[in-house]
Amino acid sequence: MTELREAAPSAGTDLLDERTRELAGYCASMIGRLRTIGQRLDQDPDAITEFLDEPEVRFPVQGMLPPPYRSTGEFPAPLVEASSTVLGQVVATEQVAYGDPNVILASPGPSLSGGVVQALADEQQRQRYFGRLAAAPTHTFFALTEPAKGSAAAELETTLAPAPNGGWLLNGVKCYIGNGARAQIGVVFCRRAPGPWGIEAVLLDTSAPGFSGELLPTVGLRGARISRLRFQDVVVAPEDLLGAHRSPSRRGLYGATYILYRFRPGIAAMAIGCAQAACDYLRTHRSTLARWDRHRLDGILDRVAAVRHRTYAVAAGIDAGVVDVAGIGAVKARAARIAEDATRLVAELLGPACLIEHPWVEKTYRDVRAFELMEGTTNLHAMAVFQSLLRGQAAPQPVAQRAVDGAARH
Amino acid sequence: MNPAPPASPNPAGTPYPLVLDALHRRAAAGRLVASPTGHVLASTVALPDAPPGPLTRFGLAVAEATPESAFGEGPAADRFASALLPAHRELLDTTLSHALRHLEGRTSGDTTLLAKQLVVGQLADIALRLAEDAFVPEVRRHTDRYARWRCHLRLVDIGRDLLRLLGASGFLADGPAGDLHLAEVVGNVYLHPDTENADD
Repeated sequence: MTELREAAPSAGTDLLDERTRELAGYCASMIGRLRTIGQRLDQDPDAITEFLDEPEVRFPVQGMLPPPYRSTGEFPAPLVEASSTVLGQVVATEQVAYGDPNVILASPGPSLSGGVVQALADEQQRQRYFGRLAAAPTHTFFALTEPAKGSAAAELETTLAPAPNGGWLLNGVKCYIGNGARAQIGVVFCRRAPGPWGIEAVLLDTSAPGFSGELLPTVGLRGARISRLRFQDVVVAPEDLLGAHRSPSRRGLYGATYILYRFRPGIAAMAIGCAQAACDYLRTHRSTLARWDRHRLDGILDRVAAVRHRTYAVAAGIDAGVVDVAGIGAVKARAARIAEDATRLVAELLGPACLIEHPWVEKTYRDVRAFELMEGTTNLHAMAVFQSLLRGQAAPQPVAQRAVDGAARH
Repeated sequence: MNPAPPASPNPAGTPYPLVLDALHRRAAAGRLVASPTGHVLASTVALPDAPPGPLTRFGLAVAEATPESAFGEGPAADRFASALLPAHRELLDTTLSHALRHLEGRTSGDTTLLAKQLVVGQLADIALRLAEDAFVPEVRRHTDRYARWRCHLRLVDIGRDLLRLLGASGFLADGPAGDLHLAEVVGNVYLHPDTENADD
């Protein structure tokens, strides 16, 4: 697979320090194996259990764990630390997705819910959640999206009502939840009272009576195991409420917004990795292209380079405490579109029946379409971009001020 | 505007693999039509012995052409290729109707997504492009393989824009996204105008 040599980031590296570039190289060395595992997951998404001991599955989630819960001595500690920043996650994720995005999405680990727990939970809740992840491979979920409201965090309808004997009862439906039906623990966003501060995040064990999950058949990215979850009178104890020690404006909706902004550049990174991989695959399997076709491919590569650079910039901004909401949405939306355009062009230029004769191309052609819908569609982000335009591209505000601003939809 | 109940993810209509079977029958009675590359794509019902592959779960089977296949560039293959485009367009028409119902069932604030100007404009644009494509004269549409390929690419563009409007439900294999993916693959196999293969 000679196209794998192209994995190192070719643009945006001026924003990376030496350690982060080393991280990119470390992840790039995993690409060949990731591609093999990814093909297997497309056939059987639950086959991830066959690969749980492999470094390609274990390393990418290490940086998402708080230091006390990371594996000791298994991976270079400086690289794990480097992968714990938003920029580090972006750089690592791009390389991993170049191999195959299904693997990181299928892997046990904290996902977005871990970020919410880190941001909101008290010490006991952190121990309960991360301790469980450290003890055994554990799938988790982040349940925000609903059938009628999509990912409009402020409009969600899943309810948290007082239970007769104390605590609460959770009722509602969530859909398009990654790993939901196979997870052991996760975070559910629900409404305890009207208004934005009436939204809560609760930690839920999927063995709780009244919880049920079903898999949804997706066109691609099957490793994500997109699911529909139902909650029918699920008992939520006081200790399950995340951030109860905080004010209502610093938990619930704040937690959802806080973590979505931090993870959204990672979706862009997955799309960038796939787009680059598709272009490199074409260059390997079609060593000669007509001049005009070469220009078309270069046009895609120009766009990949641009969105990669901008993704690194918004990620570095978040690490520095500045959240450019419109910029974050823009890179996610543009990267998703580029990945679609890249795979379509590659399928066209590889020639007739390439979607039969090149199974990796057919799989990637399906997979990349998921990035459009993950963490908000292009239309939603376009509205944020327009609002930014109206404000005259005002300077991004510090995190604390912006965490909930503009949180009506994500 | 009161929201309508959410639309079923699967629009009413014949699953694309069965539509494909009907096109085979119409083009070459009793035989399956092979692509210029020597592949035969039909439903898993029509090709029960085909090896399993990534499209099997969508109901589509892929087999090598046999001596019994209607082969190559002949009249049957030409009839079949010509018929693929209206079938794709019909699928898009069905998906557009589905999108109207779906978006009426989704709400944002106190209104449906169908009342959003951004969404309305995109739907209208899709309808205009579909209508425009329908008015391409037949003689022009079927001038040669390149003409058919251009039409196919236009339909793929429309389909992708339509599925984006469906949000996450536009990624479900048992809805329009599954059938439209098959229409794209079938076009890649039967309508792609190039004759040379990739390096390997």
